[in-house]
Formats: sequence, structure tokens, C-alpha cells
Amino acid sequence: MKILLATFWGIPHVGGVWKYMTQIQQRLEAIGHQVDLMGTTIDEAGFCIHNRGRVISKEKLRPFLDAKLAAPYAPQMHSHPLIRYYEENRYMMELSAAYMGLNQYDIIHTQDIFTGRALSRVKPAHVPLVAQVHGSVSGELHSHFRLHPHLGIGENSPAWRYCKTIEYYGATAGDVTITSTQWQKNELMHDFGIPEHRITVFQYGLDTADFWYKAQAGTTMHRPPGKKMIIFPARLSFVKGVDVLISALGMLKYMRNDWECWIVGDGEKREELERQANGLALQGLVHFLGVRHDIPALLMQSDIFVHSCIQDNQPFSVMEAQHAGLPACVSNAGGLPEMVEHGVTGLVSPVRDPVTLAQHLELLLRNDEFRLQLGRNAAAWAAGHWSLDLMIDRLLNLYTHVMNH
Amino acid sequence: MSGEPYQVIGDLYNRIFTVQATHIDVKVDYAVWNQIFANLPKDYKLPDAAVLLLDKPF
Repeated sequence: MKILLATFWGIPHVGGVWKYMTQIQQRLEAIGHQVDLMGTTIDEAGFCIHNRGRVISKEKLRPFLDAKLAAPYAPQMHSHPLIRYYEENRYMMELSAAYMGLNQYDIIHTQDIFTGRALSRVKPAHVPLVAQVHGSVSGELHSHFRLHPHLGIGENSPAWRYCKTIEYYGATAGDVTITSTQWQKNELMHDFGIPEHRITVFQYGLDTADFWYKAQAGTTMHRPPGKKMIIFPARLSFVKGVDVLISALGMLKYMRNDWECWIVGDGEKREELERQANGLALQGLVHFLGVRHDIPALLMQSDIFVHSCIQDNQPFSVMEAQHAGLPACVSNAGGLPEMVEHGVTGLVSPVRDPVTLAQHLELLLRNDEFRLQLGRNAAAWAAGHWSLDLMIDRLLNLYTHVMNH
Repeated sequence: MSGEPYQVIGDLYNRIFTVQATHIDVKVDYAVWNQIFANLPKDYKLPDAAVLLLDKPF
């Protein structure tokens, strides 16, 4: 089988989608399939088939599109800069995919709504398309618009409506839509009217051999003596809710002082978050480590994992923390309550509720036996639930089913 | 100039645009655009009118 995995985002990147794509590629190629990885080049200057070194520059496309799709000819596209950005880039992806040639593939598996819509418009009719939805683009952007009213994007504005429209067309682009959580499935059914029979749910899997290899490789970081470590590995963006954790730590500081926190990752919110931590006098307690490639080893040195996000579907970071035997303090956003059972494998707090999060952290720091029991439960759950073999089997069955119908 | 891509007037590919305006000054790389054009479905159009209606289709 020759398979194309494709994403609108830059590749290779640090996030979960790239990890998902490379896991599938490695596993399927190991059993004789051929898998290509398409995406935006990491410098955003073009589109590529990453594993084949094939690239087409956007400059071969953009000047022509700028002329032909100028405001007099495509006024809706110019009704907001956000629409113009996403549409222009999507059209360049469509043309790039046509340039690369989609006829060579037996199946196309897209990883986001933009790619789903893009490749569905340019693929040959006989090549089936599986559209995966990893999260809610409109949900994230609508939250951003609500929290930044100075942007002037309300529910009736073109940019707001665009998010909903492209999400619908992207999520319905395939012969079948895959998502990893019941939460996401319900969103697709209720918010976008996608029929239940078109949606398949199966959870992600984690490459445990790779995880344990990296865990055993160690890290240059060392936990301070006498302290317990709280760890939050995430992209430092609004949607990850790192500010909620920092607010909680500002309270926790007055409850006990036997902890420190590693915030692992980078992103556009880093300076703002560092200012917030400094403003709460958390210097020396909260450490911003930036992007690191030794997260499994850092997890092994930690005691409590936190993911206080505003919205997320099924983050790999939670799976890794559970494999490492850590109790997880998570918000009840998106698919997280399907990953963490309150009082069994971790503690679940409402979205944007730093008070409850601080209380949960305090409880786990105070009660060693409870914390360790939750960690053991998490590890046992992870071993049975986050199987990469199971995920690959389900995916192959789905590919075969779609190709035969 | 050898090795430079062979440029042609972009209007050759006007068929894919909903509004087929003339831009005689806009040139494109023939090899690239010929390959793109050959692989596009016959009914392919830009922009994507369904999405740009910005209306709930559900």
C-alpha cells in the first residue's frame, strides 16, 4: 500500500501531529508499506514531501495567485486577513499537491481540516481520503477571539464564520473521519452535523520502546534535594493554559515549600508567562526549560504531571506521563477526562480554575501514599490503553475498509 | 540566462479561476504550472466558493 500522510503545518515539528505521522510511517514501513509525509516546509517557504526531499517553493505560486485572486476577483477572501492567510496558503497547498502528484497513492490520510479540504479538491476521484481531526481549530480560534475583544471579531464577523465553515468542510472531506476521543466525535456531530456513521473513534498509541530508550538515556537536569517536582511539558501558547498552572503555583507557594516546577517547551507566550511567574515571586521555584528532547527522562525525575489546558483532544504528553507512572493534574477540557480518571489515575479540575488546581497539587504533595497510588494506577492504565500496535492495527483495518468500499 | 526556468504568461492557466481576468504581465514557470495543470481535476476552481460563502452548510 502506498500512503500519503499530510499536514498543513510545518514539518518536522515538535508537536503531537508530527509524532503521530512518524509513528505511523515507521510502523507501516516496517511491514512493507510505503508512506510519504507531506507538509509545509519548516521555514514556511514551500511545501514538501519530507521523506523524499521534494519541495516546491510558494514563490512559484504566490505571485500568480495574488494577481488572479486580488480583491476585485475574490472579495470574500479579502474580507479579513485571517481568511486571506489561510485560504491563500491552502490554495498553494492544493497546487503543490497537484504538482507532486496524488495519483501515485492508494490512500491519503490528512491530519487537519485545511489539508483535508485541500487534498479532497485535487485528488483523483479513485483515491480514498481519510480525514483525521486532532483538535478543534474553530474552538481554539473562537476562544482566542473571545479573550481578545480588541480584535473586533464577533460571532457575525467573516473571520468567525470562516472558522466554522472551513472546519465543517475539512472534517467532512474524507470518505471517513477519524478522531481519538468521544468528546471530539460529539463536537463533530453536534456542532457540525456530521453523521455518526461517518466518524470512527480510536485512541492514539505511544511507542513505548522509544519512550523507555529516551527515559534511560537520562538528562542533564537534576531534581533539587528534598523537593518534589511538578512538570508541565507543553507548547507555551494560550490554549495550553500554562498561566493557570502559574496562578495555582502562586497560591501553592503559601501552602507549602517542598516543591519546584519545570515548565518544558517554548512558544509565543513564554515572555508573558515568565513575567507572570516573576510577578508572583516564583523565581527559583518555577523553571522555564525551553524545548528539550529528554522529556521522558525529565518525567522519570518528576512527581506530578500537570496539563491545565483550555482545550485539547488527546495529548501525547499525558500518555507519556502515565507511562512514567505519574499522577496527572489535568483540566476537564476536551478529551482529557477520557484520559484521566479523577481520584484513580489523577485529579481533574475545571478549566481555568487555579484554586482547585492548587488544592489538588497540595493534596498530592501532602499525601505521598495517595500520590504514589495514583501514579501506579496511571502506569497500569497506560500499559493497557495506549498501545501503538493496537492503534496501527485499527488504522490498517480502516484503510483497507475504505479502499474496498 | 541558461538554467533559468522557462516563463510563460500565466493567463494560459486562466481556466482554473472563477473570474478569468487578463494579466499579461504575470509570468509563471512553465514546467511547474504545466505539471500542476495536468494533475488538477477538470472542475477545479479558485477561489473555493463553497468555503467562502461563510455560511453554515449544516
